[in-house]
Amino acid sequence: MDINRVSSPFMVQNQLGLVSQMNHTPAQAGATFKKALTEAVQNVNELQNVSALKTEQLARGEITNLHDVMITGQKASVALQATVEVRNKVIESYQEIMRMQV
Amino acid sequence: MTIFGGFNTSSSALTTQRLRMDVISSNMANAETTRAQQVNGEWVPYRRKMVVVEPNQKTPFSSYLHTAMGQKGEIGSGVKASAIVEDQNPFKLVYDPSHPDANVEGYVQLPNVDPLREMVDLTTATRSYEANVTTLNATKNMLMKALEIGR
Repeated sequence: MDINRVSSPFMVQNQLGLVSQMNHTPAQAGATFKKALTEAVQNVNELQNVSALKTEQLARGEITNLHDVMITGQKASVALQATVEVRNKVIESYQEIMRMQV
Repeated sequence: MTIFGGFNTSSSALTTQRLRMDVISSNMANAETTRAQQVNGEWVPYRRKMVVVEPNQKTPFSSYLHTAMGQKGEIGSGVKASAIVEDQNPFKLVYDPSHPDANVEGYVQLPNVDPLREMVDLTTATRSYEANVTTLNATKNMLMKALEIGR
């Protein structure tokens, strides 16, 4: 039996040339992850800031639509929940790896 | 449409319903107003106002493109009030010679506002607002449920 014929998902990716994307050094991978995380957090922060601004405007009496304030708050809340969910998942993966027996 | 597209759509609907509510309030408040504006030195009563509502298309170009590509189901992005128009129905004539704005025959022109009809519109606007809040909450619940995937 020809052992090269044994296919794995990794070999398929190799043939398609997709691996080049995954073939980062740890430092590169870390930098990419950091960039993605920073952008996501900035996005959430933006929504939170807008929500805070609208609340402030409401308190100052500059806002005519109450629902606008509430909806902005809800958007910020959902975005924050999503971030927390991602963070939980990342920490879970980290702990899983740290528990690995070498 | 991003994940908050549903929020924005509902938000535009809520804004529109609030505008309708404002207009209805104005109609109710002015149901007896005989001196709304002066035309040729004569006082004219208040005319009932109505909101014209139209879908909020993104850009005409994208909608043309979608039609040209045979895609009929463009969602759009909510609703907007395009204009506030005046009801051109005739004013109510009431016989009241003691009224300061009565004409020589003793008739007064009163606004063409029908309070009963305004009440019906008021209920419609309120219920529509509630329905859109329900839509918004459903959208939010859907997103929150999506966050529970894989928990």
